[in-house]
Amino acid sequence: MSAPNPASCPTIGIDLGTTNSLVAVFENGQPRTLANEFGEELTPSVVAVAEDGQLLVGRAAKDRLIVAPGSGQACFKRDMGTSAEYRFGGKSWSPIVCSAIVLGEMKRIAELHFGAVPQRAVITVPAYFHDQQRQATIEAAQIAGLGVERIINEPTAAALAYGYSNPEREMRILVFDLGGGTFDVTLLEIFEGVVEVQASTGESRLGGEDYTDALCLWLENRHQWQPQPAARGAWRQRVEVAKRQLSASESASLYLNDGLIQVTREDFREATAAIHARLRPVVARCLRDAGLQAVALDDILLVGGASRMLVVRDFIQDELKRISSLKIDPDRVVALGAAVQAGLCASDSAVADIVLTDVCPHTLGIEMSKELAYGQSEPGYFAPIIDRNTTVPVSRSKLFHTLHPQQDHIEVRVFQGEARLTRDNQKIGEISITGGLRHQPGLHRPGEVDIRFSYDMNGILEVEVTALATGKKQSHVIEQRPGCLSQREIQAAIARLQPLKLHPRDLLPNRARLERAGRVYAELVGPAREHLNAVTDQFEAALESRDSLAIKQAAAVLDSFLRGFFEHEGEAPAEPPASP
Amino acid sequence: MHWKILDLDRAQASVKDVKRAYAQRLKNCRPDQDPAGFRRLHDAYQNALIELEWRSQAVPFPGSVALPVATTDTWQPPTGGSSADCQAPSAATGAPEAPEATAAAISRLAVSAGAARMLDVLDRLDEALKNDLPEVAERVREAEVALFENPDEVGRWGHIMSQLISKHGSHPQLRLGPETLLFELEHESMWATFAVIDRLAKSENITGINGLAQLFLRHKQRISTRAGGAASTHLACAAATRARDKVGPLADIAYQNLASGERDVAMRHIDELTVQSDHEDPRGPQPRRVRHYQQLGAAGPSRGIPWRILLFCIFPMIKLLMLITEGDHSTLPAHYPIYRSTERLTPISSEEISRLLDQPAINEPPKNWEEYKKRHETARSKSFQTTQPSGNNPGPDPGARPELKEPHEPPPANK
Repeated sequence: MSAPNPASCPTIGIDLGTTNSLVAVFENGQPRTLANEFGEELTPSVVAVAEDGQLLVGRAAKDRLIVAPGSGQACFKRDMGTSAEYRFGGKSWSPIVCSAIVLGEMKRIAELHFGAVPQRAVITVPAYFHDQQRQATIEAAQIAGLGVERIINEPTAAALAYGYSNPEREMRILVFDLGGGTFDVTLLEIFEGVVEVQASTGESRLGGEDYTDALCLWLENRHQWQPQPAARGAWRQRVEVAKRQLSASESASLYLNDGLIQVTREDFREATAAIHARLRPVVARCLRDAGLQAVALDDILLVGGASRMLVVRDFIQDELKRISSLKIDPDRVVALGAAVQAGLCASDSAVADIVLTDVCPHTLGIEMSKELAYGQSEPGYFAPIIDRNTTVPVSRSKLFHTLHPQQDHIEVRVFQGEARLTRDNQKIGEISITGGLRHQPGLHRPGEVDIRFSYDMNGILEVEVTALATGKKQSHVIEQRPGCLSQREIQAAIARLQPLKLHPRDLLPNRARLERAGRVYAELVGPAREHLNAVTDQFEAALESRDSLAIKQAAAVLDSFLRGFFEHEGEAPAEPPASP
Repeated sequence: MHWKILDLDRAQASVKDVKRAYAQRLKNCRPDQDPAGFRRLHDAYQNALIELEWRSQAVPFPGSVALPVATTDTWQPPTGGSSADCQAPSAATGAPEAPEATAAAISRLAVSAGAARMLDVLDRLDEALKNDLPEVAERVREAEVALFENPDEVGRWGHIMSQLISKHGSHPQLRLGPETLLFELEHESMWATFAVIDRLAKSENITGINGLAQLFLRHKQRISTRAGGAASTHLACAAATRARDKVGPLADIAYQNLASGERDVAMRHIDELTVQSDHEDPRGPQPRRVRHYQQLGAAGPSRGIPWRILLFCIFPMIKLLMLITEGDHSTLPAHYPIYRSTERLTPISSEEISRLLDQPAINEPPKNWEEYKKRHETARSKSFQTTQPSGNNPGPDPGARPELKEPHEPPPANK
């Protein structure tokens, strides 16, 4: 790596996940992920407010949430593009602002490495995110002070990272991306340096978190027990750990109401059968859209932490009749792909041979009326114009008629979605046309309009309406996205965040240490708890004294205790460690 | 045209060549830098791939329709070439001996031990049905279990079961469980389900249609296959005249699960049947949600224009009628949003209509009529071979069904 150049920071790639986020850069022809001051690459996508009113993000916030579930928010990515509001820390927070705080943390990590503030970023979103969700992500980046170079789909990014490291291979792969909160399936073909996405489908509310919730609920029902609201966070964390253990071993044990219980793989399968049933239609739709059978696939790329679950691997084996042979870290691959895309955007010479073509994941069309019987017309039917999984940029048109010979005005309402009736789809814009449509003698093709949709790589849709009788054209770029912030609202959101400035940087590691100690304290009993209490007191006293040497020593003692409790998040033993 | 853009020789290019040429040219017109150039190149690439796909599948058409194979002397293939395919079923209804031949014919085709057992079970079911033995219900359960044990043979099972249903459907104990139908649809086959729907429609069993529709709606997730979409279309058509409230939800399922081409055809088919049932309903048209132009998708200043004005519009309407009835239908837009029924224009006198019809057609038939006819017939018989659902054509010889899977195999010489 070259010496940090204080003058500039390259465009960064950010994987803004439901559970964890990562940041990566493209440098010297290779993408790499960046770690924070703890040496951790994965930053939990969690925002919380500490007892003294300070804003916590990442690991510290996650630990805080386990002790005090009501003091922060996780999984806010699921609510992107909706008008959801969370209340914690005495304030109201929108998903966009929470995402902005996490993006700010990513920006800070990049700054740590380059000594300069990154200006632009490539951000990944699930392929099945619709327009409003993408727009909300862009706004979150604006609030965090990052310009968005490109929004790309997570499975595409994963394939790009894979295709970049194996450019010679010609293959058709299915990317199976089961993240914390979203599920995407993308089918793509790699040949001669071209990464061609052929079909992309998904579900935006299905992921590893749902598996954990289902297991929680199932265990609560089986044991006829409900945790106290305050203990819910710790209970869920224990179930989460048990879920991860089930990927490696046949059964796992966890504490429930002070008693040790066993949960086996069979139990897990039973508890999550309903969620599991939702995976199959998505995979089938993807293959159907690409016009392929499962046997035509060359390999399967597993992306997202939840794809490690054994039930998911079994599902792939049953459904697609093969096992994944691609060895690639499912957590980091998306961020690496985002970094490759950043290199592509910057026209880096190392990626000059790679071309990426993508598809639009949703069907776009207009609302039409059907004349059914006796002159009765029924409105509200969806007429698709650009079918889903068409390669973008694309331009398609269809002919429509007025309902009545004297009609001189039409309203073209543009919808996005997969349902037959427009009320089940999402409205994204509207144009009205007046004049030149009425039937008159001598007119050729009166009352006929040609509606053309042009969709570009950044997801901007242009609608052009031509009255065939007069040749009059009217075009309109769809920009209005209901539920999104205006420029002034973005400014206001930035202003609101000012008083909540993050805690001074040098203190943040200590802060995180204290939060973690607090969380471990809640898990322990007896002498171990007493011991931890003493170590923590010592550390706090050292902090108060502002003696850097004393702080360092006390921190080392506390760290060694905590390390004994768990080496890595997720692999923590449920039993209390022996008291030293 | 597309070969020129890719700079390839049409006669010799392979899929690999096309991909390589596309990849090379793509470096010079990246989709984010030159959208128009990319669009042109990508269209050329797609067209070239499609052409190669067609070429690889083009096999000389055998000349006559693949008729059911005769395995015994009781079944005489009807004479008269391709026109016979419509008569075949009716000619064969009087030949109940066919099932005996089935076992022999099919067991020759059978590949696995499981499949052989399954065929055996089905043969015994057929026997029981024919002789009206008391153990029919038991045999049906056996057949269902055989299906669950051989999910790979679901297509063959469905074909045979559909013929049993069309032959003995009135037998009170020949009932398939809901789980069986769902299992079949789940595994991308629909023949037995089609036969069940046909049987329900034929016997005007409205409760049955309602029940089946409810089953489909409740298990939307499970039948999210193409076969599920086709079966939903079929059921929606059956429900159009019998259980109107189920048509919309079923059409939704069909819409979700069919590919875009079939989807348009299916939706139009359902709409047409709905319109037809409106006309046949003795109570007159059923009320719809909205009747006002103000609320239509394409609303206009015709708001407030009294209905009487319609009278003055009758002449443009006749012109439109001309366009629809006389014009070449293929030139009509694929998404003609309005389905005009000719019935509403009946006030015109019949002389008027015949005068209008005497005028020269807008599009004349092609000059070389012979070639046109040949092509048309080829297309028709081809579509019969591959897409005709067994429900509409209760074949005369159950053993013949699996033969349809290999349309390119010439039929064995008939005696």
